[in-house]
Parts: sequence; structure tokens; C-alpha cells
Amino acid sequence: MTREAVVIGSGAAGSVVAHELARRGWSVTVLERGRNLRAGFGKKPSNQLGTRYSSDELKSARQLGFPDGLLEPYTARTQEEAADGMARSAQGALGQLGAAVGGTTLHYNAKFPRFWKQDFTMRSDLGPVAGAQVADWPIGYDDLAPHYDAVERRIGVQGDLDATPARTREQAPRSRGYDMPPNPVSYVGQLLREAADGVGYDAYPQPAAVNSVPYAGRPACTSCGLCSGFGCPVNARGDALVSYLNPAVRSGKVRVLARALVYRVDTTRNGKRVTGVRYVDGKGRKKRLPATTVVLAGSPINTARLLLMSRSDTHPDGLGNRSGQVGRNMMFHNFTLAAALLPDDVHPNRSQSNPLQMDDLMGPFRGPEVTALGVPWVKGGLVQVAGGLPLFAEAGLYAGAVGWGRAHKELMRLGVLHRRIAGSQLVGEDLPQARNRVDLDPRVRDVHGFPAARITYSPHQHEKAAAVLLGARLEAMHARVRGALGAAIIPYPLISTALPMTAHLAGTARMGDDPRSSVCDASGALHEVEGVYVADASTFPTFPGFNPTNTIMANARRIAHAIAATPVRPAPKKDRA
Amino acid sequence: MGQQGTTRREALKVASGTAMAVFAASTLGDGGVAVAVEPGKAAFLTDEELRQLRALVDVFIPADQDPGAVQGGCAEAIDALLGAFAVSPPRIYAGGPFSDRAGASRNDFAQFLTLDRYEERAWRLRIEGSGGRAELERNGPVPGWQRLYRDGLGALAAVGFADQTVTERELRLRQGLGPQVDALVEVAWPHTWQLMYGAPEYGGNKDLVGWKLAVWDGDVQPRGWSRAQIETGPLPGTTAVLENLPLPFEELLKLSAMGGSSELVHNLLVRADGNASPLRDAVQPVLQEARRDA
Repeated sequence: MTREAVVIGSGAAGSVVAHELARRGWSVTVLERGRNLRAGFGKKPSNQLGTRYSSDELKSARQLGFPDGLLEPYTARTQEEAADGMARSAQGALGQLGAAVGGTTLHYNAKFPRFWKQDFTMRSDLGPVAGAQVADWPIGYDDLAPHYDAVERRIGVQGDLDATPARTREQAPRSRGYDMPPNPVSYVGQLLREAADGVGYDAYPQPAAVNSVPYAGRPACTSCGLCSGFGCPVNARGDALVSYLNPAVRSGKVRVLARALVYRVDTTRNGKRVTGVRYVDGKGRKKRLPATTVVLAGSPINTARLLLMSRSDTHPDGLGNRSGQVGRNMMFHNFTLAAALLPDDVHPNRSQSNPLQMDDLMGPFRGPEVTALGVPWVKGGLVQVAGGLPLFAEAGLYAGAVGWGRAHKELMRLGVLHRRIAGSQLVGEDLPQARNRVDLDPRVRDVHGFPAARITYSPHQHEKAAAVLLGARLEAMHARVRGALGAAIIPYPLISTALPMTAHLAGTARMGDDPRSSVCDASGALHEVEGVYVADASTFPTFPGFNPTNTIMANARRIAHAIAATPVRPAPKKDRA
Repeated sequence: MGQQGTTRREALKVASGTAMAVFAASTLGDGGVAVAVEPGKAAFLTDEELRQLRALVDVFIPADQDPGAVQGGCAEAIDALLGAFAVSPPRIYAGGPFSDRAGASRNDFAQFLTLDRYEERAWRLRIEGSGGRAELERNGPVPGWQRLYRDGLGALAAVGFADQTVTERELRLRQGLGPQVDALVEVAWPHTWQLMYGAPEYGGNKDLVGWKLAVWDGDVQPRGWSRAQIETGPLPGTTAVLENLPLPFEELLKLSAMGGSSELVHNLLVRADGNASPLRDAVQPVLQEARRDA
């Protein structure tokens, strides 16, 4: 008997789940709210697909492949504003993730580190933090390791195991090396590596799902510099679509319905088993798709929104939300930025973005220096070294700094931001907080009339302490860049209370062993509803400071295998909600 | 022929390859207005509105020893955006994957992308406004850029803006010319710099004046960069003397740290959604931090 599943979302998690279930003979329907942007999708091999993307900054700023901020707004507020009774202080394109077949991986930075062993046992190893819901994961590194291996092999990862620091290799042990050598390192990367060495740090090639040589029939990267926020016009980037979804569709076992926005998951009358999903298609028609297995993979904000919109008499606070944890523990990475300013044109954009990584600010850090900052311990994150800022982004920042007129033009002529900096970013860990949450906005609606997701968020003292402690170290490193006129940092959690500007999202449906404090179990299954699984980063109990896509994919693969291993049960008969 | 004519020719070439007029039904709330592209006419604005707009973008990015926004064709490019749906495909997203500036044999950017129903709805809403349609006004009416430009340029015309010297215009604009002009500047300034420094297929950055000013290579695919170009040291003859800066050095230094994260800045631009004030709101706290440090 062919088993069937409906997967909601076609990004990093959904594509992997669809692929893995199809490999085991399942018939899978993927519902994706966005459109397809790759010509030949499902018909041609991945190395022959066309693309609508290009190195076009205006197209990127006009959000090709994103949910529209007018038609599908998100809203946001801080914890303090929530406490004051403010319904929202921001509205628009705040979701930060794409909506297209292949999801945000179509234009991600493609950095592909693994989480570390220590990240799965933080509560046990480091203890609690007041005001945060720090928890151990119900799985460990060893549970993910074979899935990391498989994902990396399929997607194609460049790196240099010999250059990887010993602690990193110890914390993220590998059974094999990387499939490709690293891209060339930019001149500013060389300067920063030298500066890191000067303060005892170790900058090494960052693992990236980017072809440095032809791989899987796709060509090598040409180091154009436009990675994050841009689709790869030469098809050198491994992503959810080219590496997983397109081959899965071509297998005949998977179909993708684009522009299909799922707004409800249905269950039996007693609320114990899933019966199907409801969605709006591209022409605005409401439809229903019966299902005995439904996998939520729409990313943390949208997964929480869907569970909350699926409330019923038996699930009055949202589907699977007896714990009250659905939507809570919304996490973003908190960036601390640093740069050295140089007098010469050092062409930081002539490179695959952020070619180097540094793990020296990972932590955990403890001691009087930390407790003086009001927290028992601090975890930082990896540092992405040698970023570049394209012209359009530079023009926007100057517009924010000096507005219109001669000053703006003068700054553009000088070109400091795209020509004369050596910069890095610390990808800071964000602790889970119950009050950082997604709920349904009481007034703002999307174009279909469904409530918008509302995000309440403020950084914890931990994130501020990390920015103080580690920002100073980052600044000291950048001050050592040869020839620098000066160095500066922007410790974002200290400067801005707004929603962090990152595409790194996690939490909202954490997995755990205890149904009283988690939404799903280790296999992603909702504790309370049979046949509903969560496979995206919503399941992460904590959010270590790494680019998350590798772990999202590996975890989704692990969950897909667990789904495939569940025994067959007949579909419920007439007991439909 | 002037820049306006060039823009029209490009639009018609994209639309049909002929010199025929192209009409498309607009969805303005006041009963609907047919937007026409006819020989010698702007896409949306009247000749007088276009004159006022040129005077405005001339203040935003003035000409000096290098061309400014007028020479870059930004006013005509904005007009093309306002009349994006007068041609098919609409001039919203340039095509891909390559222009012909870096090794490709044809310019894919020149063929704009066809929008699907969702995208067309979103961009018509942004440009033409919600027009009283309930399903588009669940969160309140959206005035649309056409209305903002029409009202704002009308207010500029009322004070004879285009007839003043550039210095007078700058001073008047900084003093404030009322809410309609404020609302215009909120969108017109971002449109101007986006088109000045964006790909020339959108109509601005004419003759690559924006990229030449900023010494920017533009889109470099499919050629990309060689290992030698990537690894080589500072480009010769590029040393800048950072004196008499338009921004205090400490503030410029602090702002430079934003260059550490293209992802963060990209998200900032996306959130701003073509408006000026979100960028100001995000950047000013960074500069305040620099002042505090100093």
C-alpha cells in the first residue's frame, strides 16, 4: 500500500522530508505558498534548470520570491510594548524568509556549519538562566551525525578539514572530509585572518554549500560576491530545490502545488487524529486535501501561525497547544557586527561572501566577568569573517545616515562600505523566552482575511551580555587589521529593540520528552494529535549561534525517517471535524 | 531625442516590438483610469509633473563634476515604474540570469519577468493603491504611489518648484513644503537612489553614471572574478584621504561596521519596502552610538 503525506512548505525542511519519504515509496504532496522561480522545475535535471534570479540588487530589494508585506503582513512589538498593552509597533515584511518553491534556500548565504555537541545539553551542562527557558534537546549530536553526513554529501559542501580548529573537530566530529576544497579567500579575508592570528584566534574556510569545483553536474562558483539575498545565477549553490525537491518531483512520487497557502489543519471530531488540510490556491479558491500524515515545514513563524489558526473545540488554544508552548520561544540570531576601515579599495565583494569562519567566540564563557553582566554564563556563536556589502545596500545605509543631497552623493563617490572595509559578524545565540512568541494579531489580516502572525520579541540580558563581552573582543581583533584607520562594532542587541534583521529563525514548536513543556516529541510528532509532525526549525529547543540550514535539513531528514518508520493505520472514517 | 523618448522606446520594445500604443486598465479607486503609453508621452505622469519630478531628483542627487539623477534618467525611470502596468510584462522585475555586461551574449535583464496573479496584485496595490476595494483594505486603505506622486508633484508645481534654482529648491525642501511633499519625498527619494544605483534596465543609471560614480562593477556574472582578482591586494591608485567628510569620521567608522553583514542590511532594505523613514530609524541609533562613544 502506498503511503501518502502532505508537506506544508518546500524550503530546507519540507524538501528534505518530501525527498526522503518519496525514496521510501511514499506519495507526497507539497503545498507551497510561493511560486516557482526555476524554469524547468520538475521536468529537467537540476543542472539544466533556468532561473529568474540574477545579480540585480533592485530585484532583490523588490523582494522577488518573498511574501508581500502589503498582502501578507506580519506585525511585531517588543515585550515592553506588549506589557504596556500595545497591540503592535511594526507591520509589513517582517517575516524575513522567502516564499517560493525551494523556500529561502533559493537565496541563502549557503554557509553550512554543524551545531556542536555541547549545544544539545545546555540545560544540564550550564544550568538555568532566569527569564529564559533553556532546555536540553531530546536528541544529541550523534543522532544527527549520519544525517549531517548524508545532507552534506547530497548538497555538496566545500571546506577544509585540515584547517578546522581542533575544538571544532572535537565538538562537531565528522566521519568524512568535505567534498570540495574552499573557494579562494579574498584579500580582506587574508587581512582578517592575519588579524585573528594576532589575537590568538583561528580563522579558517567556512563550510559552504557552494560548488568550488563542478559538483553534481552544476558549475563552480565564480565568486561574484552576491550570495545572501540573491539567487545564484550560475547554479553553483546547493539548495533545497536543486538538491532535494527537483529530483524528488522527477521521481514521480512528489507533486508540488505552488501558490497554495494552508490555513488550517483538520482533525477528527475528538481532535486526536489528523484528517487533512485546507488551503487557498493561486486563484483564491478554498480547497481541502485529505491526509493521514501532515508535515509542517513552513518555518517557525508560519508553523506557529498555522497551529494557532487550527484551533477547534478540542484544541481551543491552537492545535497541539495544551502545553501553551505553541508560538513561544521564538528565537532569532543576534548579530554583533565589526569592521576595520581602510584607505584603499580592498574590493571586499570580490569573493564568495564570508569565506572564513572563526569559532573562538563560541563559548560558553563563565566567571566574574560574565556574572558582572547579570547572567551566569554566556554563549556566543561563530564569526562569519570578511563580509562584503554591495552598492545598493551602501546607498540605503547612507540614505538612512544623511538623507538626500550632496552628502549622500559624496559618500557614494567615496565608497567606504563597498570598497574600503574588512568586516565580520558574530552570529549570536538567542536564548528561548516564553514571552518571545508568535500569536495571532487581533486586528491585522492578510489578503485572504486570515489573522497575521504577530511577533513579540525582546533580547534577553544574555544576548546583551554576549554583545558586550564578545563585541569588545571582536573590535580588538579588527583594530589589528594591517593598515586600518580604525575599527568599530555594532552590538545590535544593545542598540535596537526591534526584531533582529536576520533570516535565522527557530523555536515556536519545541520538541521535548515532556508534553507539559514541549509541543512535539523527538520525532517531530505533535504530542496531542496523531499524524501531525513538525519538521522545520520550529522544533529547536535552543538556537546555537550557527547558520542553521545544515541542521534544519539534517533534523528534517531524521524526522522523515521517523515518519516513514511509523506503522500503517487505516484512515479515520466519518469522524471528521 | 530626450531621455523620455528613450524610455518610451524601451518600454514599447519590451511590450510588443512595435510602436503601437499600449493600454491597460488601471484600478484606481476613483472609477478607474486608463493608463496609456503613446508616442511622445510619459508612462503615467504629465509633462508638467515630469518637469517637477526632474527638479526634485536634481536636488536628491545633484550634478557636480559627475552626473546626477537627472542625467541618470531617474525621473523617467520613476515614471516608468508608476506606469509599470501600461506595458506587458510590467517593469517590476528585470529578467535573468545575465545582462550582457560580463560575458553573456545576450541581455536577459532587458526582458522583464511576467508576474503571476499574486505578484500583480501586490504591485498594482503598491503602485495604484487599494481604491476602496474591501479585500485590499482589511488593514486600512493603501494610497498607492501614483496618488502620492500626483499629489506631491502637484504641491511642488503650486509653489513653482521647478522654476527655482537648485539651491532654492534644496532650501525650500529642507524647510518643508507640507505633508503632500513629505509623503512624496518618503517614496521618491528611495526610488531615486534605487534607480540611480540599480541596473540600467530599470531606466535609471543611464550610461552607468551611478556605477561609474561609485566605482562599482555592477553585475559581474557569468564572468565573475578570477583567483588573482580575488586574492590581490589593494587596487592601485585608490587611496582616499578621509578629510572633509560629509559625515564625522567616527560616525562613518561606526556605519562601516554595518558592512560586516550583508544579510542584516538586506533585511533592512526589505523591511523598508521602498520607504525612507525605516532606513533613517534603523541607522540613526547606530550613529548616536558613535557620538556617545566619541
